[in-house]
Amino acid sequence: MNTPTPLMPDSAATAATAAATDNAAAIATAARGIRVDALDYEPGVTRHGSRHQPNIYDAKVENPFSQAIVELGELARSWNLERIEHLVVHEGRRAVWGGAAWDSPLLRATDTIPASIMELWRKESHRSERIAEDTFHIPSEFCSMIKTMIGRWHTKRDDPIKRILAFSSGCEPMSMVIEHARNIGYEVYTLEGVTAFKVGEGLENRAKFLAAELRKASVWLQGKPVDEDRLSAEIRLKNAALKKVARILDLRLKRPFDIGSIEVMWLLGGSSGYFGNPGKYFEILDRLLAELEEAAKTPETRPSLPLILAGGPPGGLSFFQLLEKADAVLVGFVLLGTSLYREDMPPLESLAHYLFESQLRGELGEATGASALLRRRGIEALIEKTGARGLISSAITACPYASLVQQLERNHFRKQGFPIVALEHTVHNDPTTEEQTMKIKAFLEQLSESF
Amino acid sequence: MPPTPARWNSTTASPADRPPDPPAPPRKIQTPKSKLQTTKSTTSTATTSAATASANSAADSATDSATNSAAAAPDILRPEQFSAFIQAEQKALIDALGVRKAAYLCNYTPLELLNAAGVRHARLFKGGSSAQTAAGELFTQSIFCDFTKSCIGGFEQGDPFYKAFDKVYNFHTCATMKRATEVIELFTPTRLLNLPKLRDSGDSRNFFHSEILQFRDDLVELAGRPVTDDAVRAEIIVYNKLRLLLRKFSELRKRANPPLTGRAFLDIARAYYYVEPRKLLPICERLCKHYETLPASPPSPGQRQIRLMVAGSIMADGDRRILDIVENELGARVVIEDHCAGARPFYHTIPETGDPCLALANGYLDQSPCARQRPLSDAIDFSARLAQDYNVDGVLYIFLKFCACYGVSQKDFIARFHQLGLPVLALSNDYSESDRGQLLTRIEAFLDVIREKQTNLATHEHTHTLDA
Repeated sequence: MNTPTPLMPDSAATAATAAATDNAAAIATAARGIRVDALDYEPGVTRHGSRHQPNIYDAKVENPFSQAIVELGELARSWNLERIEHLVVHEGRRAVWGGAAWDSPLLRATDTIPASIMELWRKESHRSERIAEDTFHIPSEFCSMIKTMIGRWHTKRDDPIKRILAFSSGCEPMSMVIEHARNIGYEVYTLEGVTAFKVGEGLENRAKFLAAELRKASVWLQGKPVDEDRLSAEIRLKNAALKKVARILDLRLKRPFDIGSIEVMWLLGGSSGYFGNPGKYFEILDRLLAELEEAAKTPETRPSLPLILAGGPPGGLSFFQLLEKADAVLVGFVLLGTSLYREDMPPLESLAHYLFESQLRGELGEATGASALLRRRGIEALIEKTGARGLISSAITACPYASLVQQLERNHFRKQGFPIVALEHTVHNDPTTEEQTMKIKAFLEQLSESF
Repeated sequence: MPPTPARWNSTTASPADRPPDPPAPPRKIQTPKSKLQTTKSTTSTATTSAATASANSAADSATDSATNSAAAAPDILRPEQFSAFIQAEQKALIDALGVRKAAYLCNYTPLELLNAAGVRHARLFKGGSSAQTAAGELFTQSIFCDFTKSCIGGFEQGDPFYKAFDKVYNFHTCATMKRATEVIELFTPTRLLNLPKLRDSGDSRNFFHSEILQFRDDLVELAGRPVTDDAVRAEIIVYNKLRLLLRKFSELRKRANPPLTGRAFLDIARAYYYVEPRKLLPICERLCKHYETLPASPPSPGQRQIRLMVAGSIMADGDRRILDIVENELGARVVIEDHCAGARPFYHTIPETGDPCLALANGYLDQSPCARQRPLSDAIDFSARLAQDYNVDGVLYIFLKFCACYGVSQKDFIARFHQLGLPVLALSNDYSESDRGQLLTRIEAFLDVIREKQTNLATHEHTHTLDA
């Protein structure tokens, strides 16, 4: 790792400084020497005076240890809806909503840009939620995610991305708002739902069926079946990325402060679509690996509080700030898939098996029909591997499925005597609520005392 | 001025002026076999192949066993008697020894296979109790639909009926029921199976066929005996007859003066989920024939009750709160339901020829769909058609809180009813007991709106006639 001096480019540093001066929204986390600037954010909820915050993918994090991390942040910020729409309009690229997770190799192999569903709440999320309730009569009890999805689709219905790739194994609220999108003019292609409920139950037959469904989807995407050789290459590429990210996370266990938890979220977030620039993404991964391999020879001696986050980050940037202030580090993430795609079988079936393995590990969330009961096994494995001392189980407010998983985990880990805190959050870029802050702080204090 | 609501009208508020209980049917009991043959003649006209003849032969032998079953069947003369009958059946299931027992959660489960496997089976769909709901909430937190909480709650409370089953099956309808099934696994072995969403896709149908074969194989293992194609065909014929019969019950309510209340129909319909079909058939045939012979006289002037349709989420076994408000307190009549514990499951017929498991796959996907299925327009079209066929004056669109299938899609359903000129009251429901007063007020106001609309229409027509 480099010496701990700020390595932000001059121009960016100047801009950040100016913004911090001009904008009362600048957030500083002095404890770690890491600064988060709230640039390019949409005005959101104001709490405790004047705090606003950007989406974590729009945040600027000043990392004093690695230029590669700084560039990763720039890459993450550059890959957004505006950029994708620009590519569609000005470069004739093809893009659809969805397809940015387990199925991302298929999208890349069909020259289709997957616009992540998360882009739908990266901006204008509060307005989108209002539209969902007012225009589409979505009952208030449903989650902010599905509301922002349909609300944003509504406001963007005349914009360039007019196609949606849907997967039927996802939750019903999501499926139902996609029907609303269909009604306002989006072209929807629905992949039939296939779920692996238990290990060994008819998986081969289901994999063959799902592979055929994916082949049909590729025709919808590009007008002809996917080139399977190319798909195999994309699978190998994604496996390579997943392996590098996994290695980085392993090395980070020895140097937990060198890469902050937000930056790990960027790493994970980029592992499916490489932020539209695989060359740059892989270059960054390689540099990070080299830096960490070297740094890991001198393990960090300052004590840290290792934690696991299951679910999305609750409270966005403020959540990460709270952790950093307490020297808490997220060392395990139960969010994306952790297995590799199989390379010993036809590529479409490999995608199917990857999905099934993820479902059976409780990974990838309700959007793909993940198991509720089995997620905890993955968490237990992570605890074993990372030495984590606590679990933050996070769910989107009003998501029945995540809440059930959360409750099961709470019951299970309490019986095991392993500390767990259950948090709820929305998809909005709001600071943590008072309740969230209080719960996180209390949890961290409790762990610190026992530590 | 709109007519006075029935419950405030001294001439109509008394129990005597509620829908009259039908006179008891004649006590002479025909043999179930002759009854079955009568019904079979209706369905067998559509079946011509040799394979069907073979299946009918199997059904005849089934009918013989029905004769034996009917010997133990009670003499049910009124829908209200079904409650005691079902309770006895539930107890018999709990007490039954030497037989495997399987429960299921959803109407997309092919009952024909359960019966062909020789397992005792029943649907787990009790609901409406806040205590049972609260028990389920220990696992789900509050933000879950109360029906699924109740499914879990039955196990958590140790309900002997729920505990009686060796295995619980669920075809993956909604994510909520899937999650509930995963929790039930903590109490009883479960098996989840895929239910395709795309009912128009041939590939999806083939996939469903393969899932049904897995279901069959699992049942073979559970029951410890083979399930033959002939046995499945025989069950298809029996269940087709039963569904047709229950549809006939429902269609009695198309009459201007329906002989059945909405509650009475649900009392009969719930037996479908608890009682062995060969035992239920003769009972229902007797009762249905009796109702059919009643004169279809129009209501007396001024006595016409408002005809309502209930559409939306499941109205579980025990969830009668809104129905009681509508029919008992406010004097309106639910003449049709479009939900999965009402008339909807009886609007499909399984093909009686060919590969029986393929027939089940096609037949169950062709059934009047849950809103979870695609295209959604099929579910909306079916609901609209029911509303028209039953000549309803308005629709109560009731969705359980957190039921995405019917909550998130309410706008589309309601828009279609409005296109038909039907007033709609959307109610977000749960099994709590605290909002009864609010429900009463809202439904009463809704009925006033319907009456006002009818009065205005009548006045307009009268004026138009005078002008002419």
